[in-house]
Amino acid sequence: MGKLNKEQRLEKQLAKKVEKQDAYQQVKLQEIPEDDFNVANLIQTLEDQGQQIDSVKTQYLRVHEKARIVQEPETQAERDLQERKVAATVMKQDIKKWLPIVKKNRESERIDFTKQRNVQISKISDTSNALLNNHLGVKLQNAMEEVEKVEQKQELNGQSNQQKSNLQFYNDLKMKKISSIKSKIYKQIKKKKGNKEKLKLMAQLTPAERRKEIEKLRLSRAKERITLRHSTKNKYVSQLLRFGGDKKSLKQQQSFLNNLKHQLLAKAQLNELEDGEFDEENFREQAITQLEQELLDIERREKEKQNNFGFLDKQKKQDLQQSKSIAQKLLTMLKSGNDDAIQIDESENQEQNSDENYEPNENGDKDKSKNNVENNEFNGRANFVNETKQLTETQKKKIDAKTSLSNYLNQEPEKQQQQNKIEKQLTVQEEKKQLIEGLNIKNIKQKYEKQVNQKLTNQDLKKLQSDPDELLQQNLANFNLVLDEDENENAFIDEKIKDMEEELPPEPANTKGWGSWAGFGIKEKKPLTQEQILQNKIKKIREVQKKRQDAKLDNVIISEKRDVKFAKYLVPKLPSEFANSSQFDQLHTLPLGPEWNSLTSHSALTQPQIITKAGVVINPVKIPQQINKLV
Amino acid sequence: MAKDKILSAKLKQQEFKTKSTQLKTQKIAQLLEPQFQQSVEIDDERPLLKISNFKEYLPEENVQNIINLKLKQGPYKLSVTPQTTYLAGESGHIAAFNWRHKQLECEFDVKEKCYDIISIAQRNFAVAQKSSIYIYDPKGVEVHKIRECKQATKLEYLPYHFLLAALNQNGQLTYQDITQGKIISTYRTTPSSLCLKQNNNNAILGIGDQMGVVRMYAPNTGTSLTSMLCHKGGVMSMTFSRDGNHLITTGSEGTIKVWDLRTQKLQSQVAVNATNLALSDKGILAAGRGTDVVMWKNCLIGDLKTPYLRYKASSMICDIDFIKHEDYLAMSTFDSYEQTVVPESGEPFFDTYEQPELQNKKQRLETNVRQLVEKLPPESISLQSHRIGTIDRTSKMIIEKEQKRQIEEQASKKIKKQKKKMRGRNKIGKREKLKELERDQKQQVKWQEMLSDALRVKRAEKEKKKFETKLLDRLEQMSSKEFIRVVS
Repeated sequence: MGKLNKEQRLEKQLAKKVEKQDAYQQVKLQEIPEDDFNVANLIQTLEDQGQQIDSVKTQYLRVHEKARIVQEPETQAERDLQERKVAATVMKQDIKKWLPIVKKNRESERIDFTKQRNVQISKISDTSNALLNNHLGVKLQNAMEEVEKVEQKQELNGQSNQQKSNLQFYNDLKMKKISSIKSKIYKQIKKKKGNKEKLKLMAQLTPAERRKEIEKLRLSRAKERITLRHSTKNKYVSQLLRFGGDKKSLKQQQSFLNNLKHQLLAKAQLNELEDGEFDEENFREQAITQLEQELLDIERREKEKQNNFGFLDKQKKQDLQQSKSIAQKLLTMLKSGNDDAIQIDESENQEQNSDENYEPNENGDKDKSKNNVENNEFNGRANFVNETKQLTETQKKKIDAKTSLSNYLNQEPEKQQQQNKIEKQLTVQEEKKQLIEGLNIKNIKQKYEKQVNQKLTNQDLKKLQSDPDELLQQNLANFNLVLDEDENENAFIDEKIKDMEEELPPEPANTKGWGSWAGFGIKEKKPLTQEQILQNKIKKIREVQKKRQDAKLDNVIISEKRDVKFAKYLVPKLPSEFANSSQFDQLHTLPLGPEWNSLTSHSALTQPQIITKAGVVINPVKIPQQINKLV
Repeated sequence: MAKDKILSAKLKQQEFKTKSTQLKTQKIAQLLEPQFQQSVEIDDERPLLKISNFKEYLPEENVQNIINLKLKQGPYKLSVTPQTTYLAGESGHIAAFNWRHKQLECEFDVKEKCYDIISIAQRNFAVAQKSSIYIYDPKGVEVHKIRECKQATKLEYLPYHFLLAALNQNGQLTYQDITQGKIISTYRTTPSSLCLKQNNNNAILGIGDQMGVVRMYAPNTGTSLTSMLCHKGGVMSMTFSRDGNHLITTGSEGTIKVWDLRTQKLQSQVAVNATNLALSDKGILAAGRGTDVVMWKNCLIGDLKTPYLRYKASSMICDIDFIKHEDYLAMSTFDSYEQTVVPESGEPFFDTYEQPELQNKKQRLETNVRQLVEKLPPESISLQSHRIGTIDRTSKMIIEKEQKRQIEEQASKKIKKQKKKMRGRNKIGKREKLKELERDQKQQVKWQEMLSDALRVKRAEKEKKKFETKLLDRLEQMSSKEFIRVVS
């Protein structure tokens, strides 16, 4: 069946082609009408009559020659072009039938592809010539004429509607084209107009609302910069991800944080300085009013619109909720009058800030808190002061650093226990570990541990905070710093090992057959595996490490490259007079110049062995007598 | 003992002379000691003294020199000499004024971003601007434009070598000779540098890193001489002591550390979050943190627990420096220049031999000439500079190798005279053809070596495949045989 179908298809295609060819011929015939009038015939007739028309004949021949070139067969390309033109005209004729229908369908709600047909009334009028004599026929004709008139009016209206719709259609197309024009000036003008309108709107707003809108714009800008793939390596984004959205440099940011801390400390000191007789009731009233204000602030802050960064919003919410719960608790405590509960909650906060002494109190922090719990006296004043006091930057950093480091240190002893249990099977990775431990990282870590001995919790930080937004940014920056700190050591150790590897002599290339006996019955040596090569390398590095100057120093690399340019200031060989180099160096213990000595000692040091006064006659050298005799 | 008697006698004489000179110098030092050396006594109860508390007790000369200038154009950088201060704002405001007489020397706007300023020889000063480094007269006239080191952010000047060192944003360090205008050496250091400082005793530059490492550099070698891991965070700033034996650094993690450079070990440390450091000649350490400046008295001995003084500036501090041979501390902030008294900070004895700024015009000209004559060569900068004139302690093998290499280099530099050959062999075209042939042959040898290695690997792989296929065939035969056996 399939073959037959193919044949059928072919036939159809061929039929189509034939139809087209017929269409060409028809078109050609239409385009080129035959002319009966001919110039050649005219000249012949004139010659037969005997008139002299030589000049005309020559002109005709010339023209004829030129025209002959035109009549020559066309090239294939030209022929194809003409054929295509003809095909286009044929297709246009076909399409012309459908164009009005398509237009109608675009405008109308329903779709109809039926052709327009004349109404049957025209047929009646043709056939009704016999009926004209009758009354009925006259009436019918009149009625028909009226109907026709109405229809013509309707058609005219329809045509005018069509024209309007057509005009709208083309107008829309034109507007689309204009909107798609991408000229710079057009866009600039548009932008300026938009900006002016925006500014007018901004001028009408209040400053608080204006600030919000500016923040919105800033956030949208930041979001764009982060989301774009090519700009993720941009300086702005890298700094934002690292330091939390501040454009300042590291040094400026540090000083800015210090300044903030300084201001907060000043506030705390002011509170301290207001000494006087202590009234419980006044103090309670003050505390209650301040706490209520804080609660209002928190509510207001919660209503504020969120940032686009999800991770920032989550932390902000948590912080606000915690601070809110604490404030509510305190309010209930203060109103009811139960003082014991306050102390239990804030016993952890009892530690004094050690900013004034610039050294963390290593001991005694726990004891203070215990004592306060035991003595159930009212310490509301002290507690309230502590609330206003801010933690120092160093302490905040230490908290973050401590948590990460304590986790790390807790993991180490477990690992060691596991290692002791398992038999020592030296793999390559373990060898590397041992090599790094040989550089005494533990000592460095123990030193760092001592700094971080002060014990503070994260709750202290969150209770005493004033602005969660700023603190979040600070924490982000600190967190990144802590991450980098672990990298610093590892990077330095890698650098040191690389420096030692450069000192090793280059290994000979392993070529087969060289360096081994050849012959029948001798076993082939297996090439070393990568693990064995590494182990050999580690052994060599350890030997090199012992010889170096910085063998015992963990955090120092001293380069042992020889300074060739400086060598010209040194004496290459020991002079023959001296026995030792130390004896030679003794001459250089004392500087002789006037820059380092007083004038009297300088003159004494640079005094010549023989002093001759001016004017003394110096006799020429004489030959000694022993030599003179020989001569 | 020496071989010669004469030499042994000479040595004995010198020992005697050294001892005698030491005694003399001690006596002179005792005579020159100031009798009334004022200092501030510290109570244990209130360790942090503020300068405003004892301002009333100071003499008038000192009170006059307590300056507080309010400026507007951005954070400022400064460099101070015993007579003038140079200020450079970030937005391009540059000024120089005599703080002793309160006279303005020059003031102008560059309309360009300025990163650093430093005073150089003959009262000129260099400014690191965005486009390049400029050198100006004391009257503010542009003298030179150094185009070679672009985007320099930190400057340092070595006075005895007449070298201007500039550190780039990408970590490129350039040494430039000011007298000749010649670049002596350029090389790449760490890309994430935060601070640059020179060791006054040694003329070696130290660069603090964002990875917490301090590296020492000299113009001779491109690599670092020593590198020391100092901090967990980045090294914000550092100073060297006057002897060159101590190094003090601050880290971004919030510690100040004192290092002994002779043993390369940590001496003492404090938990203070500081951004700027300065050390006076007498050993008073000033640390700027935010708007505060905290000072310690005997920091090099290790007494860092109790601070000595405290000063509160109007805004955030950007740069700090002590004035030499005076008891003043100069600091530049975001919008001001301030100068305060720090008792017992300056060294009272100044060397008249090398102090051109307290001299007349004639004397100054003479000193300029003399300093140029006594200019130290840049090759003499090294960690072993105290060993100049002594015997080289490296092994003989290495020295001989170096000498051989030098001789070979000299020989290679000499142009060999080519022999003249007859019959048109010496044509230029033919000679160049021969040269091309030689080049091609050298390349061919290289390619052949490469090819042989590659071919060897390919052959080995082919053999391995053949061996495997043989094995597989045998296994198939064996399996088929076994299968037949089982069936049968």
